[in-house]
Amino acid sequence: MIARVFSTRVFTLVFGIGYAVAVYVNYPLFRFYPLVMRFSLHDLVDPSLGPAMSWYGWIATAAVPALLVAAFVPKRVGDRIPAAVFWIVPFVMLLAGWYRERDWFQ
Amino acid sequence: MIAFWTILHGIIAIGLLGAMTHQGLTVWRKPAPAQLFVDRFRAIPAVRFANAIVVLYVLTFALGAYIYPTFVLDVKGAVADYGMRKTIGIFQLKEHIAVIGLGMLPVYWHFWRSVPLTVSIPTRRFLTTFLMLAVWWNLVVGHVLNNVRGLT
Repeated sequence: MIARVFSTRVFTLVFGIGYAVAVYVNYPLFRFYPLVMRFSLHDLVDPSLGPAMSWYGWIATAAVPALLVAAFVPKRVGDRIPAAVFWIVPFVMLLAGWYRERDWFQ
Repeated sequence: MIAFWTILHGIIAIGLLGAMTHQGLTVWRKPAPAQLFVDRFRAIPAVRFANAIVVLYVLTFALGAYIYPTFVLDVKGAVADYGMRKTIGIFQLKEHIAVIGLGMLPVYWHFWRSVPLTVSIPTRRFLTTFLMLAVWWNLVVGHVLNNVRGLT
């Protein structure tokens, strides 16, 4: 049922590119401050709020356009995306993640 | 309470690991009579695992996302104080790999359930193997980090 109206190929492609870009340029849709249980659309530079978490925001940055595009692009169009693309997408995402976390390894 | 959710996260992850490993090894198996234990382990109808793997992955991911803030507050700082920066880096990569798996899940399901099993065999094999390795990596890293400094 869902597969008839929702292009899984389009979702994965847009989500993958969206996540890689969001992580690479550090653009979370929002940040979460777990110490005070607060969400913010902006980076609140205030040490009293504790650490900011961008992870949920990166996922949202990727998921929102992916859901919209996958819902609106006809499935027959999405099914034309070559399967080989999905061999590349996870490694592009992994490279972006590595780039973001590289400071931990220096 | 966070210990309960952490343990549940681990238990579901182990279920996912079992299903994923069955399927991951099955896609590499040449059709032949299964006599040895390893062959019998791989001689399963792999397509039937796809739905269960999707459900287990989403559950594991959701529980991990739920306990992640506690990790950031209670564990990350302490591990940084120990001077174990690479350990944190490896865990941070685990979080990215979990998202990669989540993003690949729809197309993984698509190639198992919507595409005829006689076509796109290399892609199905790649996606399944990638997910299997991702699940193994995440479970081992999560388990080791929990040994370094567990959630309480």
